[in-house]
Amino acid sequence: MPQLGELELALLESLWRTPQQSAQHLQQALPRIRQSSLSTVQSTLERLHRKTLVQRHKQGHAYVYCARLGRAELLGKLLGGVIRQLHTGSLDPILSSFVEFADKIDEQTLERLDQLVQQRRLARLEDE
Amino acid sequence: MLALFSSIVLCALLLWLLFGAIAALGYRFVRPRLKTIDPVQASHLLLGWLALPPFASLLSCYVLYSPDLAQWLVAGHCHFDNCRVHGPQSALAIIPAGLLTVWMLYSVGRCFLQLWLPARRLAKQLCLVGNDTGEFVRLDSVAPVAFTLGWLKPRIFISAGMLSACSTQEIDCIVRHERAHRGRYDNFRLLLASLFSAPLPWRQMLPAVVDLKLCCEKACDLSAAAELSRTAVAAALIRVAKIQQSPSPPASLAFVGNQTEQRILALLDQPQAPMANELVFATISVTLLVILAMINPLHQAVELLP
Repeated sequence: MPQLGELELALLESLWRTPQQSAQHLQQALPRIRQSSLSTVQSTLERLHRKTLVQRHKQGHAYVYCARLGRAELLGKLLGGVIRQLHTGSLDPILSSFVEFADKIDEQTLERLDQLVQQRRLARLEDE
Repeated sequence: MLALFSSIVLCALLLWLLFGAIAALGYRFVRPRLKTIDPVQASHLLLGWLALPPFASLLSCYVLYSPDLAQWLVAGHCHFDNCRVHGPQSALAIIPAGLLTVWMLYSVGRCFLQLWLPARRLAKQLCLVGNDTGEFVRLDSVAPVAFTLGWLKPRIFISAGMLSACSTQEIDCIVRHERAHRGRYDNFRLLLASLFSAPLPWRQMLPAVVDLKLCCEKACDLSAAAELSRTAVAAALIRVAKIQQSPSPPASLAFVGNQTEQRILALLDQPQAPMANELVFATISVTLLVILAMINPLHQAVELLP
């Protein structure tokens, strides 16, 4: 999955909402905090096209763009990469997982720990 | 002027490496004690321990080169006819100071770029493609994941796979645990720890960074357990570990050990009492006094060098 910048994501978001837009329309539709010049939007769209995330066809003198991947497909690809990195532990320094993927516990240990939890629960019930 | 500036820089960087080596060696003796205290307190102390080498070197350097302060800490002595209070100064420091500065900037910069930017970008991408429920961002994926991502504005991400595989109480445990990470800024804390230890050679402080991560996890487990129960959180950890078991090959993080098992056992053990504030204050005071007491011998030792 190629890395996506903030403007690239904003343009994709816009294309998911309204497919088939020209660079000019996309520039006007950008949220205020992402406002960029038309040439910046055009070069960003060019990058997205090279990353095969948008497709385009000529309409008159201008290109019209639409997203090649839907939001769900992009999420799938994105998460696929995240899960792979979680398995190798390479994402450990940047996020806090509830249980580390890289932290392998064998079945027997999990069963032993499970029994320990059950024992504690029983003991607590007996105390009450 | 250049000689003075280079001498200050060289002194600060060498002291950072020296204090780093001392902190890494000393950690062996501190580690068993840290494991017996409250994880919340232990995580604060560990971050302090990791921050000690850079900050102590800056403090020492400031004291050493500030005449008003140096007169209290450096015994008066003369060099030929120069009897003023002074820090070590030599034109020979220019090249080593330059080389050491490049190394320090490279290692800290590389660590920062490898961690800060990817996390920021990933969080933005996931926020965009996920559904924000207010409490957390729901990711429409069958893969069972739950994590907190982001440095200054951390967000919680939970996948649909995780939500469907766990009971309401288990999800409650996960959300409360991740909320504690968010409230404590644990990711940022770990980033700082990585930055502080990045320039030290041979990854000397790695055990302390790994222990800090474990302490943060334990602290968040306890935070969730305070509102639910320790056994409920332990059971949720076991459940999620079972869900996440996959046939993928063992990961490369062998040094991490089995943190999940340690967290579950810590939850089932007797609660650890926090260290008394007086003891924490005494520990910090003694450490600072030791650093200040080292300044005079360090000053004399540096001047013995040819």
